[in-house]
Amino acid sequence: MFTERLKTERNGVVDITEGVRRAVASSQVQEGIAVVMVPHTTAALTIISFPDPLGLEDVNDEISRLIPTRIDFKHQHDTPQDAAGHVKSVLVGASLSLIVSDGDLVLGHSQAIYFFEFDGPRQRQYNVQVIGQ
Amino acid sequence: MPSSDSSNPMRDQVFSLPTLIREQIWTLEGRTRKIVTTPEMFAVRDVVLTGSGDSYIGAMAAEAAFVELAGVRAQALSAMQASRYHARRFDWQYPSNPLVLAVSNSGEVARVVEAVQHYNDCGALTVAITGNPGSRLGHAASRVVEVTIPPFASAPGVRSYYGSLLTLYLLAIRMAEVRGQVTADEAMDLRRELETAADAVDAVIAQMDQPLQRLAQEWASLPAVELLGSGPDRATAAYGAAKLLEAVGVHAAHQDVEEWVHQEYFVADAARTGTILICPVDSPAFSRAVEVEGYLRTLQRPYLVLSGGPAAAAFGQVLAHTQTIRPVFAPLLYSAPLALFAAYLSAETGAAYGRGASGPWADCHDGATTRNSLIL
Repeated sequence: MFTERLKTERNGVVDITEGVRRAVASSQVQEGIAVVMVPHTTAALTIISFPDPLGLEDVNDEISRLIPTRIDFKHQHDTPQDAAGHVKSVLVGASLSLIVSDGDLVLGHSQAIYFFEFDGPRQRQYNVQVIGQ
Repeated sequence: MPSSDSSNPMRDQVFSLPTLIREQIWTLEGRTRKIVTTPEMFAVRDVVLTGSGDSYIGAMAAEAAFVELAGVRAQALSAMQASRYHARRFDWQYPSNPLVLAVSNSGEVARVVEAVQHYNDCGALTVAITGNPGSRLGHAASRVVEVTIPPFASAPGVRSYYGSLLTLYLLAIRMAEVRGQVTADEAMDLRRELETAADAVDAVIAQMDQPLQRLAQEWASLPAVELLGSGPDRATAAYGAAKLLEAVGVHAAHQDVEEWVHQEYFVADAARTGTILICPVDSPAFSRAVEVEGYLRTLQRPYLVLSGGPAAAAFGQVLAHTQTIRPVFAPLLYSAPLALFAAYLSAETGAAYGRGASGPWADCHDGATTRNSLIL
């Protein structure tokens, strides 16, 4: 398994595409599946178009509009930001399954893999497991 | 471990502090974490910290932590000030406001109970911080944080004071975390700082043990001791004075570093007025403390500066430590050696703690002078 650590900003979005590609390359798998996962409950992974960075802000803004940080969450063990982050993480998802072909990820020309931080700043990581031949 | 055979209960309590901190910090964190709900945390506009004696001093010591870490208006008030002067005049238009943190180890101190009752009547959120949840204070307050301090040989409060300090600091950190002043990771780092303060206290005790024992021998015949400090260190000065009064009965007073220049500087019997100046090198009062040391020298007062780090060399007659701690947590580091000094002075003079609660002091047996007071 490949693990990469990253330091996030508060509500930050990080492009991890190259890191996942490195994981696939190091696995030497030519044809298979790469599973990418964040072992956190206030972070998530998704694929978004990368050419216009403002598109990332649109996604983040909409997520925050849907799940604003409120003080009346039932989960009060941590902070309101943390409670909202749990819900956002559930909606966006904690893992991705990606096709590996010819030893590389199969992604659309404008697709990139993004790590969403819904709390932070935090020390985070994501894991990649590549399965195949 | 104690380095000499002059053991006494108060000294033993001081030496038990590092273990106490390590054993209690995470238990207290669990008890404070959700004692105030998230909506209440956001409703709070003011924090009042109150108590009497050591508990009031603990409130003074923690006031800066609420202001600096949580970014909330906070004030430490004596129980009398809180009950008879402040509670009735407060602006009560906001819910769960102020948040009143009422400290009493026994939970039976009349004026603290009275203060909580008055704040309750006006809609405040009251939290008792006590070792006795079944006490009058425990029953009067809206919530109770139980501060369980494992039993030890009786002595003027050392372990109970540290229990109160830790609890108040943890509440300040929690408020800072919930209100978004610090991140969850930063809040956890602050809690770990409190935990590792145990190592710093351990080292300071070991480093200052013998010098303080010698100081007690030198100062045994002095009729008065003054302790000076500013900001959170003023609370530490007050704590040191309280321990000298309780353990030894010597006339002891505390003063702000600046105010001392305006007042106690003029004490006539300077050569017989011992003075302890508490000033960490990162204290905002540091430059003034260096100037004040010059006056102490000119007055020929017997004095000692408690400070730390290389910059402490700016003082001429200093007992310096090598540990670091952020200024708002400094009372954890400096209170222990002052209690140790009081313990040694008590041993040196043969003074019974609290005058043995006998003779003209018999009224205070079992805390009666603080418990048996008309509650209005």
